[in-house]
Amino acid sequence: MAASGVRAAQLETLQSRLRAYSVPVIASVMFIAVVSQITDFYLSRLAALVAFWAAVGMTWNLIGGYAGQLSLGHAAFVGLGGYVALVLQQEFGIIPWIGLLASTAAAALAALIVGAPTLRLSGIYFSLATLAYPLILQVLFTYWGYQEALIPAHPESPFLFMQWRDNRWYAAIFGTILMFCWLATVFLERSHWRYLLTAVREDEAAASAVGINTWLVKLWAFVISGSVAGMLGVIYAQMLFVVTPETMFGIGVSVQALVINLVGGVGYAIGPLLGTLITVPMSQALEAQFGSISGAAQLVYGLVLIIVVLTIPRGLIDELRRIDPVQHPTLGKLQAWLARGTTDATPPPESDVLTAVASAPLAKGEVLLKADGLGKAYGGVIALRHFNLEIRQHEFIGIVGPNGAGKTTLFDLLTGFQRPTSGRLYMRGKNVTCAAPYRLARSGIRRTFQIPRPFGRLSVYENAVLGGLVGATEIAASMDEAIWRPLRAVGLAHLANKPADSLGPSQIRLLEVARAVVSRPTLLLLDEPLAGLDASEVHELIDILRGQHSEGLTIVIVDHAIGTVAKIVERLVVIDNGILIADGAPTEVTRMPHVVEAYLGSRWNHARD
Amino acid sequence: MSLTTILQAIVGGLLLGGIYALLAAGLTLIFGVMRVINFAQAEFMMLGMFAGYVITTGLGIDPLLLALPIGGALALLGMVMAQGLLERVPRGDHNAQLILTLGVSLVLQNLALVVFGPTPRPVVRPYTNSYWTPFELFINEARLFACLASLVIMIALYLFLTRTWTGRAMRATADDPVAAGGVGINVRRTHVLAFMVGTGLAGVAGTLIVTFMAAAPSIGNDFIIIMFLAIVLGGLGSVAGATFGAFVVGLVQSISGLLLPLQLQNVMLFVVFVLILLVRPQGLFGLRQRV
Repeated sequence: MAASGVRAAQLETLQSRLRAYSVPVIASVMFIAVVSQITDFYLSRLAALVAFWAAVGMTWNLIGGYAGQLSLGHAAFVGLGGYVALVLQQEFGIIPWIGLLASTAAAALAALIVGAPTLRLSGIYFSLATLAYPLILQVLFTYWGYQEALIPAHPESPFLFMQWRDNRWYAAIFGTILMFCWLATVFLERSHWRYLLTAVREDEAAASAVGINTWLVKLWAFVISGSVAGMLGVIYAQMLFVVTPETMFGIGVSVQALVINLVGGVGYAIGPLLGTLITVPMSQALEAQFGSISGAAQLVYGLVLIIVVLTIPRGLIDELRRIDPVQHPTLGKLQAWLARGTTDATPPPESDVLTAVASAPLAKGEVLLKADGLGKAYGGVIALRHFNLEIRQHEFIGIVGPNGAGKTTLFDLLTGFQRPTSGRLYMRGKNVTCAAPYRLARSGIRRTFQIPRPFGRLSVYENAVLGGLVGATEIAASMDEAIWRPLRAVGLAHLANKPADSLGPSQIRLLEVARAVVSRPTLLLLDEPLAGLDASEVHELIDILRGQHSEGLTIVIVDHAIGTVAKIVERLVVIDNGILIADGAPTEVTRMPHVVEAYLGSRWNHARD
Repeated sequence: MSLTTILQAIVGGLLLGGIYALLAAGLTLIFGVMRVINFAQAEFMMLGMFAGYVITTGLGIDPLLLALPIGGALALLGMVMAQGLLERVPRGDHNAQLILTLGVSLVLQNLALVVFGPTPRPVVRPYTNSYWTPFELFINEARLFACLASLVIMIALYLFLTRTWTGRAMRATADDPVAAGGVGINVRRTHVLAFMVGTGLAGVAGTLIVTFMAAAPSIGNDFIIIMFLAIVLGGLGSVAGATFGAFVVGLVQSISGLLLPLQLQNVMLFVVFVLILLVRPQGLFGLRQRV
């Protein structure tokens, strides 16, 4: 009975996979079939251009949409691809098919060289830097004497030299490449890459906290995007036949790649396709209409762009998603088609096997994390001074101190989010002083944030998936179980398909805890988890943490609420002015006069005397 | 390479820098207050150039006298763009804002192309081709006048931002729009005003530039990267930084002219641009997003 159920489920996923992958194939075959019947020169040229720009748009969508890095320099890759093959052909007589390989490799290499440093920049700085790259190449290729490069004509063998007089051949090639780009996007959306990229796009700090090497993920996206764009550039240059640096590297190319995505919908598989189907025929029609007056077509194009952004600021697909299917049945069907495949996650039945709950306090184990004289200075301000701390396995530690004592600095140093200016940090005896946050996360240290950082647009379930995506130290019997257990533990399983943004503040905090424990970490650090919670919510959270601790998790809470923390932890560490002033059992520490003084001021102490 | 050539390059660079300062200050003010990168900024400069060209050739009024009125007119156009377009999309929707400014840039540039055609239109004044020659240096009088006028306006801008309540409100909004709203500043109006000042400055700069450089519809493409470089150098959003950045850009451009062939002059600029971004994205002073 159960076996047949499993088989049915497998069959269903296979079917949905087949359906998802068949759409690009069918669409492309139909496109090529229709185009093969077009004899009109301009129409077939238009078809080729649509397929070309849709494919370029999809390559931009990978880095600009899925990875969320708004590139303004996509022309660098299209142009470099086109020009490398062109120079090889002009100077060395190498046929463009071989040039295609060389160009793709050159574009990939360029993306690697340029991307490695540039992707360390964030937001607007990345966009501005990418703006410069195609401009540099444009000036260089102009200087090298390719102001107006004519591709050597070989009318005798069009297939060998990619020189067809008939645009339908170009349309077929671009259509095929478009199909592969589309298939790759579908694959991406169904693989763990979607999670990685979305996490990077939504919140890089939170992504590194769950163990994702954000830089590497972005670099992969950038290199793949660039290399395919370079490949497309080769065939585009052959089709244009007369190539100028302006047409290949100009800001117009980068802007077009951006615009078709923005019009269609950034970060959706068919966004660039929709955008292209609207903008490219339009700009071609405008060119045909107003081509005699230089500038007129571009003028109207600019106007239309402005109108499009004012009416659908987030692109067509987002707009379509907001339509009420009851009022517009036809559009509703389209909407349903777009939403297909995104099935809701359903919790598996709770497993009968009870998790071993150790009621007795666990024996304290080896030293997990050791701070050896850690110090941190911001310019002249010393936030933390020669800090020594050993965190042993199975401990439940509270680190407290008044506001401004250096708690958050210490927390960031222990999790790798900041680097100490002096001292060392050891993880199980290994020096990890300069390790990136994602490395510490992968070796079993997970953290939450003072101001919670959920992946807001992802569902609760997807947030949990991300928690266990990389560097899970102990793979549970099934991944599914590993994800659902923490969600059940914090009581969010019934909200699994809600976007994280829609949760209340205390639920978001619980979600962060769940996300952190999905990977079964050895050490969990919580940054002011109690702030903003009311009394019953504090109790709920404490119960959850106690449960996790009894299952073997080592927990460190950093908070300023000394009273509450002292009640729940086994060991209390107090810092003040960046110095450790007490370390011991909570009952003893809270009685120490200098701790009282640090918290309540010296007057209180004197008054007691 | 004689000492005079080097001095000549430095003086030329400083003169250019003085004029770039106006452009960069306008762009950085807009970014600092509105968090919008205005890709149409160079087109406002281009419009200023054409306005100067049309009025000077038609009425014979000197562009130096026209700079402020034309700046005012472009500030009004800026107001239309800010209120009619930029404030209509959700604040913080950077994609929509970006595409809006790109769209406006496309419209303005091609409007000029339709009206004036691609041929550059020079304005010839008595001082356009005359030179002042102290210490064997050749100093173009048009550039000198433009630079001096630009410096006067920069001082006025500085006084406006530091000494008037409107200017202080602008700086407060740049620092923290929510807090600014909390103390009673009309954030929306401040945004529009900052955009007006920014585009007005570009118009003034354009009118000054047309005295020594011919107006052409696509001239903005050459200037936009210069502006970006200047504001990145000084730290995005900092007017003082942008002014400094503008002088550095002028100098780099002028001195690389001594070392590199003419066509490669801009490559040097781009390389400096990328290097600065990679090494110090927060600008040379580390002034993070201040006006």
